[in-house]
Amino acid sequence: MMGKYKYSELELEYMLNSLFQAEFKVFSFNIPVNENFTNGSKKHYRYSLIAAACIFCTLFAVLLLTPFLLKNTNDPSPSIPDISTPDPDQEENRKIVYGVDSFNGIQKFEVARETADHTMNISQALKNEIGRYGDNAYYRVIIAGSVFSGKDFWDYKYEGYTYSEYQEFYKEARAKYHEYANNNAPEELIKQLNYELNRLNNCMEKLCAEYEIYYKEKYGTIYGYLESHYSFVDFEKPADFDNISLEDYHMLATASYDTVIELAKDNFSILLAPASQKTAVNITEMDEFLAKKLSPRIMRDLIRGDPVDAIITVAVNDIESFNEAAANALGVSYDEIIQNSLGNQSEFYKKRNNIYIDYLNGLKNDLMCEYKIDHYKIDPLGSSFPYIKCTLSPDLIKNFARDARVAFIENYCEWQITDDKLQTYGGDLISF
Amino acid sequence: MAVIVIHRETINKKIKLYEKDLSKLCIYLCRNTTEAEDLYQETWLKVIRNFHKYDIDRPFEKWLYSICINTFKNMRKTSARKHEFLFSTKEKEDICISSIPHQDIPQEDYYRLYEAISKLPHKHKVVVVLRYFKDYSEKDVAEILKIPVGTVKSRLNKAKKLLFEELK
Repeated sequence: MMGKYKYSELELEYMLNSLFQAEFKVFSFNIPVNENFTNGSKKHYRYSLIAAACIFCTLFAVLLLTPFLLKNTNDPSPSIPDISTPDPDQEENRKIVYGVDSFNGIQKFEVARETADHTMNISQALKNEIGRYGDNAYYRVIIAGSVFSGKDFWDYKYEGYTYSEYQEFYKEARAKYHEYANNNAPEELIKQLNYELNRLNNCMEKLCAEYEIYYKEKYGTIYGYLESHYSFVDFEKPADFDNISLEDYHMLATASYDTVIELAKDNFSILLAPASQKTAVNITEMDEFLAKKLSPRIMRDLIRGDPVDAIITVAVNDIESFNEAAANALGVSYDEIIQNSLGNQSEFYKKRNNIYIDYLNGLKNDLMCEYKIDHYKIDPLGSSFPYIKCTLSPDLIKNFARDARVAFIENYCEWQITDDKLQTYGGDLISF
Repeated sequence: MAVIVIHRETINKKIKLYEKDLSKLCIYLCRNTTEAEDLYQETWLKVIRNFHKYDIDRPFEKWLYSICINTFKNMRKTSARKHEFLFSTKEKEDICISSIPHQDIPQEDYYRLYEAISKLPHKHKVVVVLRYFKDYSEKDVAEILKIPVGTVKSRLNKAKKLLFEELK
């Protein structure tokens, strides 16, 4: 076979193994299933575009009928959901989810206590986005975070080891791998290490997945911890935001798309989507999710649930895509980008930031979204990202009228865009 | 419907545990994201609808994958989208291929291999994907596909021969 073919059987075997271990990071392919399937919906998502059209027509009809229905106050129609502009005097219209990735968020708040700037970041965002109901309103704020912020997470073991231990194993294995690869070690050894790296990575993923289940079982729901403490995060007036302490924020074990949506559906009327790095990945998925075919179903589910007046989705800088783009542009590996983004002030790091700006410019074109970089911020992990202020005017929104996502915003955030512009702030957040 | 309600929690857990692996498998099988998304959704739909038939003594993962493979087979019968290109851009393809850890073998050969796998006859492709994607043994593959181990071996051999031909 060797004489006839370019590769030996062993080599082909090796190539197949390598190929199938390749990270398919380039796909945004993470469709939350349970929310849609387990609520009784039998329609396949491929019909969602049709559903979108139906919902859109229905909403349009409802909007047309609203003045008529409002006039007939003696004959309210319970079958028609109330999707009109929320009345800020009604308590249920003032419940708000404000999500921040808690893994970074918790550290940001530690910093926030010491630096006025960081405090402004969060409290300013709260004031702008949440404080619009005025001083007499009642606010509920939640910070949704990643699995890493879950109680006991760092003690949780999968097959006898904690996440930190796996991280250490992984580092060791990766160092060995590089060493062997650079020193022309036997192929079989390198292959074994490659397997080991994949196995460890898999263990870490499984640990997180199992931990979520463990957490849910222990605390009732994945946000059970939050449920039992949420009164701590009720605010009487926007001024209170200036005095937010770390203890006021109760961490969610996860900020998965499902959880956030479930929170919005079951408990809250306004959802501000999470912001920071790790969560950004979730939200990028969510954003695409809303923009694509599944969004109408979510919209419908939200309409059918407790009043949900607005979901403000955010187009977060997709840090993974950015890192990939940066890695390509710099001709280095994804891992190197990650390693060098932490506390490194080198030339490499400056280059990286320039690429980041280019990346944002690309994003700007994609989103037709105005933004400016106010200044750079160093987060507590030592990673620096441009501090972005982003606005989206009503006119701009109208330009998106054919986009399902914007149709959604137009219908549900009407009150939000009656001002000249809708704006928000975030450490590494672009939102509209 | 009742079944869906009863098993909701369990199914949610399973989805959480296997969503990544399943989505990868779908991508490997389908070679275009639209079809892969369809397959992913269809598979979970079938899991939910048939969960009461699931034998708890059998590993869930294998049951899930066998549903996925069967769904894939059915989709192939009806789908006209058989040769769409998986990656929407060349850059994405490059990112994927360049993420292959060891680069002693020329990258273009990985491209060729990737193309060659996609050209394999369906039954051979499925065996290759299962064998290398999850590192399943031939026995495991046989169990998932509900075919004899000998058939798996012969299909694997045939698949490799075809791949050799493409790579020579």
